[in-house]
Amino acid sequence: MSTNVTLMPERAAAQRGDPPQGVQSSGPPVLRRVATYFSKPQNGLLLVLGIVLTISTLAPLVSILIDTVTVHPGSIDSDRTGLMSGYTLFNWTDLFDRSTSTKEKLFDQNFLDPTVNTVLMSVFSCVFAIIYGGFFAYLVTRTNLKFKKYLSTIFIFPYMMPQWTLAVVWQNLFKSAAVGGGSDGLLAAVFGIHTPQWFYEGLFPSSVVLGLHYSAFSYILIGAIFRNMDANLEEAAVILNTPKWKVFSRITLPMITPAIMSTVLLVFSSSMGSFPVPHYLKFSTLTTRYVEMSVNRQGQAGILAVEMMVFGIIMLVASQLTTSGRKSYTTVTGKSGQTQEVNLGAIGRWLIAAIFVVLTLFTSLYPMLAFALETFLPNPGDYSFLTGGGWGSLTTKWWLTSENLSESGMYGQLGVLYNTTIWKGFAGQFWVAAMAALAAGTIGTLVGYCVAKNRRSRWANFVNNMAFLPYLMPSLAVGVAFFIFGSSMGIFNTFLLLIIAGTIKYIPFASRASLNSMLQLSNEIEESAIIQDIPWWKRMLRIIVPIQKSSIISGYMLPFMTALREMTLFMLLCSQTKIITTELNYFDEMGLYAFSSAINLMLIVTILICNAVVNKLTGASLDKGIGGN
Amino acid sequence: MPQITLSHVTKRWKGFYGVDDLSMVIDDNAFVTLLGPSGCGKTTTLRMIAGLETPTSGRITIGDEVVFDSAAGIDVPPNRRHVGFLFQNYALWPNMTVYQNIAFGLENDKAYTREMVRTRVDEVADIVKIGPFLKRYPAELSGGQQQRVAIARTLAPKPAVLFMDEPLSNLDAKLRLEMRSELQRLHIETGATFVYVTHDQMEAMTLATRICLMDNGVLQQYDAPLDVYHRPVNLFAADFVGNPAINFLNATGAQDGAGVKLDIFDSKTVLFTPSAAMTVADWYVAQAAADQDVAEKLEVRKAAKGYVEKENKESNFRYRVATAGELGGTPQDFSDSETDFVVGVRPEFVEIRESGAFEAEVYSSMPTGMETTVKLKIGELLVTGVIFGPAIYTIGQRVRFDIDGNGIMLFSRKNGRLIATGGLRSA
Repeated sequence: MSTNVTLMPERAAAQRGDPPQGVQSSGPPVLRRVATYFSKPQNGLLLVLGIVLTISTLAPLVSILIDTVTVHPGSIDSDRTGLMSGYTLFNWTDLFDRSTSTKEKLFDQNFLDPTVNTVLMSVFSCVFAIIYGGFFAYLVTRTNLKFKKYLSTIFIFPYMMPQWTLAVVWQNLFKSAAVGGGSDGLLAAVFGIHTPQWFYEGLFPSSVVLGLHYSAFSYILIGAIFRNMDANLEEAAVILNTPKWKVFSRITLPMITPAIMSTVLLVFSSSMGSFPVPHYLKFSTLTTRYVEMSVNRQGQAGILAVEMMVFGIIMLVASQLTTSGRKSYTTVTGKSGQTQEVNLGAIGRWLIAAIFVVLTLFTSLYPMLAFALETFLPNPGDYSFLTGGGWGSLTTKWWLTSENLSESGMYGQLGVLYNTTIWKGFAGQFWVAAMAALAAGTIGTLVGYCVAKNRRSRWANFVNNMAFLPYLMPSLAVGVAFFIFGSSMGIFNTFLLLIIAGTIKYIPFASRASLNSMLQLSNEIEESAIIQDIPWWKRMLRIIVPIQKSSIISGYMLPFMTALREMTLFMLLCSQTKIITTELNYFDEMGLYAFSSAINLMLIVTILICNAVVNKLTGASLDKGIGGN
Repeated sequence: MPQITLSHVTKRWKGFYGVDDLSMVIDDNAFVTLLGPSGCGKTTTLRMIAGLETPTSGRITIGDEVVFDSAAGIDVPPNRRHVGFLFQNYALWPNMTVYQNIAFGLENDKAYTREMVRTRVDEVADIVKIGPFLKRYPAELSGGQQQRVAIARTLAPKPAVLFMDEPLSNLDAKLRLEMRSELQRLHIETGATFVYVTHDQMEAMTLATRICLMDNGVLQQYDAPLDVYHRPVNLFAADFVGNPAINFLNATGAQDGAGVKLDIFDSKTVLFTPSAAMTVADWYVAQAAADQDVAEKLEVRKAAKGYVEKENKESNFRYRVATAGELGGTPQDFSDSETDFVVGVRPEFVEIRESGAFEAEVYSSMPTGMETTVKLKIGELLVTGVIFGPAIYTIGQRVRFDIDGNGIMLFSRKNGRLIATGGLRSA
């Protein structure tokens, strides 16, 4: 009632023929058109967002390019050219110089091998993630598998945990001193099983670990299509006497192709940009090579970053191509509720479930137990308590040491519980994650809103792509870009730089979630409010935001949870003790593996608690939001 | 050519009976509609015949072949039943063009060469008039065009039996009318047996050679459309078929010679004369015997192994008596007395005339040009009538009316079943 009353004077004014308040009253037609355009808040907002995002996304990219031709004093380009400043093409010519056999070797080592390795690793990760995750999705959605609910929750654990978790676990499980030197893993130490080197280092474990990590992702995407797909489509083919394999290859597979494509794109670019996994598993990829080369071949390392960016852009183009086209895959749900589940057989449904229960145990609970155990071992790989030492061979010193004088094995560090470096790093990570999430969530939601409001405009499309680009950019490449950008701005090693980098990298999470749900929201909902002359901010706060609550929350939550366990993106942007994930390297370098384990454990527990709390409070969850198309 | 037989087909999910002990015969070349409110089991029945759903028990034959028999353990998969199925949402494959969609089923048949496939696709495309769209993808077609493609795809392999699950419900009103007559034409042209699910009684009435009316998983009536209309077996059937809906009038009375003397509209006494000689008392005796028989059969079923108590029990249909001021009418309970009746009057039997026996006030009047639907208020009760021709009434006008014709129905208020049809005149 009250709204009616406040509206009355304006209505009356309009009826009297008074010129409407606003923009269209004067000026030449062009100006008027511009004014009309901006009278819609979403248009102005879109323009601002477009400019800001273009600069913040493109400027770092351009700065890497420039960096590759800039002279870096103290590095090889300055040394060889004799220049102390200015520009040179030395880095490009030198990296690709294959004139002598030494140069050829360097080329292989610095460019060709890492490139080939990276592509192989990314491809295998994709294949693994899609087969493992897709098969699991099929089992859960289409068969009468046992323990579906439990399995479906536990299956996405690897995605919630930091990427390197499984890499570290793999190492600790399979490492073999007899084969590769160093300390023994659990299997070698306790059972005397020595796995070959290819099994615990290099391409194979890297691909499997990344594949496992992202299989959760493919499970969620493919599973969503299986769930929403109209079973009538398959039934229609069955009625026409189509063989089973043909139904699968001609109908089911094409239907899940979009999900497979988006999984491929994401897994490929994420695997490529992953540093910790190949780092722990000692595999030479573009990321690890970049870090090694950046010490004295900074400019050439930049070329590797450029290469990763190029891959990212190829992925973006590929993603554009796959989503356009004449075939529309909108899944109209029919009476699919009546689909019959595939019967796995009385034994099959238990057996397959049991296999998955065991497999997922190794990717969920076991890592936590293993990390916890590591923090009580007197030395890394010292499993003497199992082989005869008894409980007495375990120690609590890594947790409880409260002074740094008597214990010589801890390099002057206090135990985890008393260690301010760790707690400060933890707080730092939290702060960065929270701020980046706040910024990314807000910007992403607005992008989603503005783009949804201007569906057919090219500019909106462009802004959407700009916001989406970092999604497919390998993390390390984005990190490099912001490292160069931040250094030139004088904000290296500040929380501000970390937050900016995090914001840009995570906007896509929010903009995707929000765009997808905004597109479902019919324009009329807002138009009915416009008709009643309700101001824009009020429409947003009272109508749009409440309706889109859950997608907006996941727009904030996904960046938060991801930033909380982000290492690759941040590791070049600050000193190692600034945030907790980079402290992992710090302690690893000191040989304090128990500390790393403790940190990993803390991270996992924190993420699980956050996810559970948010899930309880809002119903949103990490597994429901990712990708989300 | 196939005749479809269902005997004692039951489908239940735990204690919920989707279809309960359904037996029926669908004649060759028939056009049978499965009609009923949503959730009554009609789609489940159709899917069971097609093989997309497995019955819990019972036996289904198509032609000479037993396609399902729970006792014998026979369950022929849907692809071996040689039937066509038209889905409500068309289920066109979005990744294939119209041509590919139609050709897909033919390509599975080794008897078809590539050339024959092309010829056949063109043929069916002509029948449903989608020739120009063969190269398009389904997403590029309108709803009506998609519907035609779906029909073409179903017709292409020349199925002898064609199942349709609410095929017209996603179309707009005008298109629906057009497609309705198309389907009728297709039925004649193809000579196939059509089984058609709908919740739209108009569609069922106009298309079917026989209507199978279901409610709560139980077959209510299986008759030709006009029989269902004129001789509905119970209050539910009478109410579900016919638009505007039938008028139900509560009545009390007793046998009076060859007729039944009834009090309706509170105090008006009328005499109901059955078209065929019968007495209410005899009818109740026959009913009791029939009920006994059904109960015994149920006992046998209950004694059988694996019987599960039915959770969704049949409850008496709560018929509604239209009253002024209450939308949709007032729901009525059944009574225990054999002197309580319900009189069913189709709107076309209400006749407004000067000499009418009852006096009423015009409550609403809706002329369409061809006829006028009037609601008459008599006391607090409303009676709906359809007056043919361009009659105009003003709201509030006082008129007199009669209940004419020999199609008046007398139902028992004790069990809701039809006792007899006949004529009504004031006594």
